[in-house]
Amino acid sequence: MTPLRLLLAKLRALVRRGRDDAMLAEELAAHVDLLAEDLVREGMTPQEARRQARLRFGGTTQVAEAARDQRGLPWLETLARDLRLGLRSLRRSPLFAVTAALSLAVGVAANTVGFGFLYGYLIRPLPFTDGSRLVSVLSSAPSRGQDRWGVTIQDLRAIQGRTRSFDAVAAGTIATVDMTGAGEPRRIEASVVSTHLFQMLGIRPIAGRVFTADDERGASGPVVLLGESLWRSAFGGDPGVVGRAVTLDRQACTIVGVLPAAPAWSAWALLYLPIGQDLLAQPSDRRYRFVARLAPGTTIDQANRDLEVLSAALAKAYPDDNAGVRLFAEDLRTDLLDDNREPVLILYGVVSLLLLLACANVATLLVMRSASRSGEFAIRASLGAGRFQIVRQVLAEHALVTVAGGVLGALAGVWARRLLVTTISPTPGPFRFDLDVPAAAVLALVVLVCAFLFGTVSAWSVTRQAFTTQRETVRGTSAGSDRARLRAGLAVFEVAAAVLVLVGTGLMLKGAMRVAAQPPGFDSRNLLTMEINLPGDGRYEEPARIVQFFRGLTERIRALPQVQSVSAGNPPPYVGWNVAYEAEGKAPQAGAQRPRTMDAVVMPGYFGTLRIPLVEGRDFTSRDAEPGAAPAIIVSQSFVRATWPGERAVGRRVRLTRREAVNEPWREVVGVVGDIRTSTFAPPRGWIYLPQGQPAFSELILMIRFNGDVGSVIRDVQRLVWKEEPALPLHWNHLLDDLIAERYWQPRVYPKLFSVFSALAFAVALVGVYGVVAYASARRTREFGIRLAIGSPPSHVWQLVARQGLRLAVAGTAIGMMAAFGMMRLASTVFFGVSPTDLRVYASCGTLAVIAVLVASAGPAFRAARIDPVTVLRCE
Amino acid sequence: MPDKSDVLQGTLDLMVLKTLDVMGPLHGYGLARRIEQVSEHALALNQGTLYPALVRLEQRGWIRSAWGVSDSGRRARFYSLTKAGRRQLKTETESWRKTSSIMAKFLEVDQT
Repeated sequence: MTPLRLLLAKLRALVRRGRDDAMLAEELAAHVDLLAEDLVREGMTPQEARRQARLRFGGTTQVAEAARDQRGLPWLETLARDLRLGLRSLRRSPLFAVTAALSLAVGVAANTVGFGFLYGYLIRPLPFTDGSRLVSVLSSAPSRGQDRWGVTIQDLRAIQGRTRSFDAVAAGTIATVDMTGAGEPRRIEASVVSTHLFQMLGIRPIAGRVFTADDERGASGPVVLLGESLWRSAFGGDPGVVGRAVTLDRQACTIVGVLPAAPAWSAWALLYLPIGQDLLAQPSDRRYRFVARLAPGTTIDQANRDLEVLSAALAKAYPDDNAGVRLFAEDLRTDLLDDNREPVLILYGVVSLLLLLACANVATLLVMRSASRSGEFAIRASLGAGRFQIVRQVLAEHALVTVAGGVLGALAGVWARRLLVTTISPTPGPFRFDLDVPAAAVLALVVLVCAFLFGTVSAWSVTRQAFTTQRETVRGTSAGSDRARLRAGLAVFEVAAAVLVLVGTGLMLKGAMRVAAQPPGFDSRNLLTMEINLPGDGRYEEPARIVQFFRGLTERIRALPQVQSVSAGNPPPYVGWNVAYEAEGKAPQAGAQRPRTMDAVVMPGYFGTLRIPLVEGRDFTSRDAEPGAAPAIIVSQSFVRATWPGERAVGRRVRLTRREAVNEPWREVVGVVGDIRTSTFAPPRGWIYLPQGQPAFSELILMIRFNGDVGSVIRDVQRLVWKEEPALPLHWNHLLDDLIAERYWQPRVYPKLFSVFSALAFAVALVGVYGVVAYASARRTREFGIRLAIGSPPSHVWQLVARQGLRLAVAGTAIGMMAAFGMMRLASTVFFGVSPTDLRVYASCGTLAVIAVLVASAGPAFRAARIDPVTVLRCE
Repeated sequence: MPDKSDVLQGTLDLMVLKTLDVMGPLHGYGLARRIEQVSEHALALNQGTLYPALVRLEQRGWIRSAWGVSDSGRRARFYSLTKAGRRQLKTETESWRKTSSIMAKFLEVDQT
């Protein structure tokens, strides 16, 4: 006998219930008949025998009932009956069912989206072999003004040779290469990586093979791996591409394989080269990042202690490169997450609150609806129904609503999430946001537990009321202050939560608007960017040649009819490099960290083209690029505020400290320009601009302000460039607007997400508040009837109801505001421009909440005032 | 499905199995009468426990049922022991003997 067999027998019995019942009835009848026959044999008359037999046998119904319970699964049958009843009763009040299910659907949908992000970013194992043991190795050098710096190949060798904390270490960096021989010449972002990186991370190629150790040594000549997107765009996704050659930086490289699009190392890399092939790489270049796998059983702290010792040894071995440099390991996820952790957590907080609100709402609506059913409950209770039976009945209804809302919400959430992921997060790195089975299970569990808790509490309170009503019919509906407190508590919670998200979103939106309203400091409209990198073949060794090339090119471009103005600079305004500096007369304290600032090299006319206002002094001119010109810089207003607050900057001198070894000249400030913002998350930073020629950059980004069709501008500029340098690849033919949008999707997206969710939360909360107020006033129908009957004016009655709503609103609003203040103090550290003490936002949100609650209670109040006292009293 | 009346169920099950073993196929009424007779009417068998017990035993595969005709010609459902039921009867009997002998000894010791 196995439990499974028993279960099967019971299930079969459920299915053939009708036949079994008939058989049982006949069997029991036979029992009675046989007993009667025996009694006749003992001498009774047939009638008397039948009567006696039936008497002795007892109730056939009870026996049949007992046998039936034994035969089937009584709890399943009860459940089915409860659900059937629930369904029938919900169908009688579709408005309740739809409202409750919809509010839950909203909560579940929001949670699906929010949890999808949370899970994808913070919980899902990274898609690499032993992803949980992977760390990033970086360096910091406070004395050189660096807190997240790269690592060198020397460091790599030392780590590989001398620590046992890691069982694998791979390095990688980003480089740009010129690709020719496949369509138009292009500049491409490449990842230069250790050959064993892909084996280490467990990444398999789509076609061909990954690198081997031989590739590092160059045994099979120069090789390259294509990324999937480049493979599709430049080679038409042809698997036969493996084994062919492509020219990179004028060197023929054999394509050995194609890597899948899921970007492991860098979301941007289009192709991958082995480190050994990077001829320009110096072992002391501090531009690598390491991915390392902790040895089994090693913690990140142990690894960091190891790296501490190693850093000291390296500082001794390479004082130039490593003095003051400390290597450290960081969880790979943390490193990859970057700025996303806090917004994701806050987003999840908001959607969790929304789910709680929705559950509270369903519970409130349930309670409200039960008000009209208290009579029914009381009758059932007096007929002998146990309290548990009625609770079960209410819960079954609740479960139906929960399941309907939950399924609807999950579907909506999955759809919304897909939409969001594809539109807002084009480069998520190794993070994926689809819900797999464990994630969906956790999500479902959270929803169910939430719904069940709220449902049970309210079902219990509903029936308590039914049971008290039964006993206290005479005294009516005045008793039970703790029940009233539960309902009021729910309502206050709903209002508070709504105010919390409302204020939070209000502050965040206002912050975002303030940020958006603040001009970025430059005009990115109708501005084409085009990167030009002069070949390193010796023809542009002389700085003067470089300066001359760019000057000639910009002059010819300026002559194009569609072009209004043109200049060039590096880096472009949305990227930042930063550099430590020293202002004259403000020598840093010994040991203190040097101040840092952003810097860029720009050509004359750069500020005019980008429409960055020149506040004071002069722009650079071509004279600044001439050999022997006095070292000059232009600084931004923020720089002036930070360095010489309240003083004039023009004429003062600044020295950059790129490396302690190199002695930079003092440079005189010749002009002050307006601020530009590199990130919407952060306040504007100080910038120093150096004129092209001091030094001369061979890699500049053209900034072209144009009219009309961008395609024709690109073609004309390409023609001009290639007339000068026929094989020069042109990279990044982009509109500045697009680039900025692509880089900074978060500041645009999060406020939008938050405002959608908070609007939903507010609506959901209002429904709940309406439910509570309506319920409370329905409970007082009799009281209102009496009041009206003894002459109270209707206005007095509706004031009573409204006052109750107002009390809830004020209490909830106050609590919500306090919570919002706490939360926003936290959020203001993450989102630039959010001020947690913006009184106007608090005031308007509070007013909105109170008004909304009053509107919600207007319906019930109006109804209360229109009660016909005679009808009420007669009903009672 | 553990039940509150487990102990009672256990003894009733054993009685049913033993009766069927000794008497051969019997209908519900016959079983009830026989059990009452054997226990010398010390047991008043409640039909509300007998029939669920029959369902239980049949679902576990220890007895099987078939429709037949009683001595008096009444159509009735006859129960008989299966192979598994015979095995179960053996093990149950063993364990019941053990339990009762332990209890007997225990109570003797307690008395002296």
